[in-house]
Amino acid sequence: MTGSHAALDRLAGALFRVVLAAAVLFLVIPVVVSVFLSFDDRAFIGPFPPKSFSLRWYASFFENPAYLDGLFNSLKVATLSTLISTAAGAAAAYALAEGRFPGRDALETAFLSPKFVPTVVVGFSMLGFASAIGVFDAFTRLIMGHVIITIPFTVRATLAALVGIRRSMVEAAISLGAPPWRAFLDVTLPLARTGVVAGALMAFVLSFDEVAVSLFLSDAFTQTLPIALVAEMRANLNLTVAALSTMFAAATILIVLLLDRAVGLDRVVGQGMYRG
Amino acid sequence: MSGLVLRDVVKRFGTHAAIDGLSLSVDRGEIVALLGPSGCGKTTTLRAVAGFEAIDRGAIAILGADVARLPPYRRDIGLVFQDYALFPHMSVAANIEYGLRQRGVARAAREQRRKAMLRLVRLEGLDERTPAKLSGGQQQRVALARALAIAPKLLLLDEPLSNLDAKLREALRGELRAILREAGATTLVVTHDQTEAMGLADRIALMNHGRLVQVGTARELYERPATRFAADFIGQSVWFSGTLRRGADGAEFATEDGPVLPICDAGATVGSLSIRPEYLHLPPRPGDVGRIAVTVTEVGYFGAELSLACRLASGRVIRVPLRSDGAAVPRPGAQVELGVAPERCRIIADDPLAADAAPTHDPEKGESR
Repeated sequence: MTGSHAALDRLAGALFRVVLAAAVLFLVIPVVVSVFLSFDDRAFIGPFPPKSFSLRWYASFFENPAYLDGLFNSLKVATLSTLISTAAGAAAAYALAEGRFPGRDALETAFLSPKFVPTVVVGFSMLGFASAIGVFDAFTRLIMGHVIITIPFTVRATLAALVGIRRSMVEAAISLGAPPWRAFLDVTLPLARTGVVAGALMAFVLSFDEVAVSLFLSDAFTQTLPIALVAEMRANLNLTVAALSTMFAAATILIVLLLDRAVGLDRVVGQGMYRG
Repeated sequence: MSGLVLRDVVKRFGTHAAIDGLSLSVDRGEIVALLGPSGCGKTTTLRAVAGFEAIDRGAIAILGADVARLPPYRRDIGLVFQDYALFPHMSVAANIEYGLRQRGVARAAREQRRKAMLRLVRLEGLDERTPAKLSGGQQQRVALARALAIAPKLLLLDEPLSNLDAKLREALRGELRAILREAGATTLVVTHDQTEAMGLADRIALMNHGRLVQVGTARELYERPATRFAADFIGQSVWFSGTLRRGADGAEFATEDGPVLPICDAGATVGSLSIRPEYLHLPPRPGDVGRIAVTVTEVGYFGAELSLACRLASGRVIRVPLRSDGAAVPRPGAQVELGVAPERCRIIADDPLAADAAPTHDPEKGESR
């Protein structure tokens, strides 16, 4: 009996490892392939692996003004909308965590709802709304749209961190002589910081990556990088995309490493640290 | 001058009065336990004293000064929370010095005070640890050191031992008591655990439905409970309903279950008869004039103690503890007589509120006696 159980356990374990390995390969292989392709010397998308290597696609990226404009726009839009979304989201989360007011749950749902609405719908509605209130500047529209789609993430991340801060900790600070604003600075803010940072990071990546909403809100003169990329790919498909994705992956890895150095990645990802 | 005085305090949540006209006085340096079932208003009282709940009526004075209008951060109260509420992002040292920092105490003085506090709670050398690296008992003592560091005019403890497991609780109760004695602070302990209250406090203030039921030493409350609720909440009782009769040679209580028991307590005139189970003796001892004839139905063995289930003539079953002292133990079915001394039979007034008769015992409430 026990013997067959052990065999079954081993089989299940082996199966689990196979599935895990398959999942990892599935995630990693495309990235590896695109890294290789980005250094491909051929002028066309040929069979894998490439025969010779060069930096021509990287050069092509930096020589193309549409891409550079897009990159610049994307960085501007992502930075600004992240700042707004993080400030507004953190403030909203604090109100939601502290507040006992009528309509609190409805408000929380409202803040999280953009997550469940298709981005196409958000983009189209925002376009209509912008023209209704007389905003025709694409850059402003993009900021508005990106704040809307990123705010559920900044609210969520801050809220998760705030929930871990027990009311008694703040009250302990107050009982020890700290006025409420001081208790907020000394206890609430440091403990919520990792949540706020995690939310901001998600917001930035999300905004940088956004296609559907930007498609509606950008115009011919103000395009974000993903939009420029889609347009270029339609016009002439080449390996500049691979070069870009390689740089993008490298940048992401760099950010993650920096973040790990700065605050500790387990703190950003995990939320159980305050319950000790 | 009293350390703490509550006078006619009322706190309402909507129409429900969580504190319903409570008056209590705690002497300087005295430790008083506010004891009661959950929902009796004891935690609200603690929060009102700390300043986290505004009271609707009455006065709260600490060392003679009215504090009812002061915000919590101006009351100079040391508060130890049930979950300790240590700051997880600060070291033990920073936790303990936090209150001193708010008061602008210079660094050297802060460090000196911190060392003294860590010595007091016997945690020397743990200054740089973070709270997550401490055991539950250590965390509790750091919380205590942090509260005492500001030399508070009043120390409040909210269920100080309830977060610890049973074995540790026993050991830490004595230690906590010693630290509180040494610190000499006026202390109000809120607890639902009678053992904790008895073990820590000089006096116990028993609370129910937002009011004080009885205030006194543990012994007074156990031996002379004022109401049925008090008798049931602290320790156990065997209850008899019946009528009190006075004759030339003293008073007696005719129980509805049959036995007529002589009593020497002439205070109460109407009420029920309470006998602490350990005063029911088998066989009767000298002086046990009162006799109760019962049939033993069941014998439970618990090492140091036996527990007999005894059926009265009326059919009602009472439980009687018996010390295992090697004497013959009755078998189930045996007809025996329990003895009780008249001074151990107490007439206890029925509670003014009907609901008081059925105390809500907390599930985690410690075993009695």
